[in-house]
Amino acid sequence: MVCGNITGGEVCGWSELLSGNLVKAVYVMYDAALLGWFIAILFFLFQAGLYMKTRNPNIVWVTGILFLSLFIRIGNYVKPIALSAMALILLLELAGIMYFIIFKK
Amino acid sequence: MNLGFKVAVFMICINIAAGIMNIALPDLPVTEDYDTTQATLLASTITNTSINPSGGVGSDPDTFGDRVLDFIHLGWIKQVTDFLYGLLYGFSGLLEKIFGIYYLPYKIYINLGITAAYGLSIIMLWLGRRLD
Repeated sequence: MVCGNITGGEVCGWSELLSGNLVKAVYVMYDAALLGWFIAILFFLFQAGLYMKTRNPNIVWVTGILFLSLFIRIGNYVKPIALSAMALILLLELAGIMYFIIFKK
Repeated sequence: MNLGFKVAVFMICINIAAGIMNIALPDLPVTEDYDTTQATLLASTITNTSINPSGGVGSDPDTFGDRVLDFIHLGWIKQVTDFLYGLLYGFSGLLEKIFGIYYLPYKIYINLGITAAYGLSIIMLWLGRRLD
């Protein structure tokens, strides 16, 4: 992955940055650096931070459903394997909620 | 309440959660093979025949027993068992659905592990009650 227009693909976000699209430039840069897992890593960080702050798995799961449906809808920004990984994380969260219901944590 | 019992219960929780998510998600898209199979079945003219025990093939008589069997309509048993299977063994089904494949490799071993978790949890509950 080369920065610039050498190979025809521009992955550092210069064209977005020079067009004034700051958020899209940041997305392009980090997504190229993280091999397409930028949105998924943000999702995992958000889920972990929300759980550490609130200790409430139910709100973590519901917000995860909301963001996963948003990422499925916008489509091109997240690759399908990352969506599958997010769905597996949501599966583990729902299993944890049921486990806490059983064992009264 | 030992660790093995908790692991088994967590596996069961994963299965029930996967079953719930699997029921909530839409089905996989229909492939071309399935379409052609359906078209072949619809185009074929299968008559209502039965094999006579004394030899030969004759038309199926519409008896009272046939009407009773049609009234019972065993399809609902298949629907209920499919629903319970999807709920209790949902992990492999959810993997198939979110990765978009029609048959997961080593699915039988996953389901055997799930069955072992169910059996172990039942045995541990039984032993716990006896030992307490």
